[in-house]
Amino acid sequence: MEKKCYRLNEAKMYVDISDGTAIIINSVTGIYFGLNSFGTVVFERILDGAAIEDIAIFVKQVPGVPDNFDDSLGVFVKSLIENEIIIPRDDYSSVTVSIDAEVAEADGFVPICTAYQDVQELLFADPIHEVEEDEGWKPE
Amino acid sequence: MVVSLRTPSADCRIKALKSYITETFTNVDVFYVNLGDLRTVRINSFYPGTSGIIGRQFKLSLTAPVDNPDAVIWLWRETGCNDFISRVLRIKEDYDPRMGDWHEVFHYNDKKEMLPMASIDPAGKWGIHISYNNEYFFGLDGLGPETWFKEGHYFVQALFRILNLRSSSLVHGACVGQDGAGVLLCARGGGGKSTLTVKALLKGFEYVSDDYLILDSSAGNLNASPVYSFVALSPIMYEEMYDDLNKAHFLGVSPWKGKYVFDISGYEDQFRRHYPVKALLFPEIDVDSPRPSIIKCSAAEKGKAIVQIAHSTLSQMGFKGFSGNQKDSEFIRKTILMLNGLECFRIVLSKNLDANVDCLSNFLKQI
Repeated sequence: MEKKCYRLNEAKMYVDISDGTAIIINSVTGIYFGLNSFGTVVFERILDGAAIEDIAIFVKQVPGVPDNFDDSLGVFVKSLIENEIIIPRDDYSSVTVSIDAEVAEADGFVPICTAYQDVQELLFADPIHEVEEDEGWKPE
Repeated sequence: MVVSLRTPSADCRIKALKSYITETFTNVDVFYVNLGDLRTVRINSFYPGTSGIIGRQFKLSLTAPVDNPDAVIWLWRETGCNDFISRVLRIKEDYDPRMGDWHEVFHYNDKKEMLPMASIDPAGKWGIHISYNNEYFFGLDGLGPETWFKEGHYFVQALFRILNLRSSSLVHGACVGQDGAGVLLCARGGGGKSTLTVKALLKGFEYVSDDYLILDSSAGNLNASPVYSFVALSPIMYEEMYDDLNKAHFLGVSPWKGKYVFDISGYEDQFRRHYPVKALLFPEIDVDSPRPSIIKCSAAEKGKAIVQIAHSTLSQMGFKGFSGNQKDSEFIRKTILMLNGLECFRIVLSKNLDANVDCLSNFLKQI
């Protein structure tokens, strides 16, 4: 079976990896993406040319990896593809995969890609207590 | 606790807030600040003992009073954060101060969008930050000359909103140049941009900023203008540059990373407004490098530089209590549009500060 390899969608995406965290910007829309630490190392391996299947094989050798790791990895890669961060690459070359087990473990073996249009949007997830015009307000 | 207010209700509470400030604190120092000829801001400081530091911070941007400033910043000393929301804003919502959580107040704009209006830390550590239309309110405590360098940073977040214009932005970056050709240095903190910029200033370069600046592309070309006349240096770099800092005044140590803060308005002759930006420069420190070098960036490296300037700006400006009609993604898109047309270079900085500046000087002669 042909292995799945990807590369950065350089036409649209700008990337900076700093302190173990990847920040990715869609230069067309301005939407930015943050990866968690484990997501960042997986992303780096993808950009190195590693096949998704080879990354899965490597991580599943780490003690403590949950049974559903393939699902987590699949969701992550799907998110990268759907957000046009990565695109398929034609060439496949065998790349030695190496991922820091401590980073994987610290993030519960779940790589995550989060898209942000505005950090403030997160606040709207809180419950809102509406205050009517005159409620709680007594002009002196 | 999260509260949302309809417009008339929000108006009433802001009116009460202003009454509270002006009736409680009688002495006010007023400043007018010209932000790159794009916006004029009035600062009303009711906080005793801060007028000197504010005046020095904006010394080269101060301007004559105007009747209708584009925005107003209010500063006062607030020691009653725990009951502020009920006592001053008259919002009767039960909350438990022991929760230690922020109060978030939102209001609806004309488009029925809900915008952040206030963030209040009941514990008082971070104080009160309120923004409504074009007015920004800071109720803070414990502002000494040195804590100002840290707490006064909140002003930057207000200025970022005020400068949210179609073709301009306040960004976290540095800019110096020679003979009317400038470079925009983009890097996160610790990337060497302040050291290179200040050293360049001391060696006679034209100067815009080492930290925050206004980028404006409304006239077609990209220009940079300063906001502050402060710089901050690490103690090690201060020692390195000590003999040359003869026109700088030491102001104190910032609690933020222990940097030394200086008033550099003595170098006014070298300050430039509307300064043409000709290239992006991405500094990289290599202490093992025997000499500095400047190399043209690949497309990916240029992308990395733009991510750094956008992300470090948003990280500095992203205070949740401030409203604005701008989404982060819009700021990023605008920044990319402004910077994409520039060529990007990487400067590898050596330990030799003079050699770094000479390298930059040679580079500027070629662009």
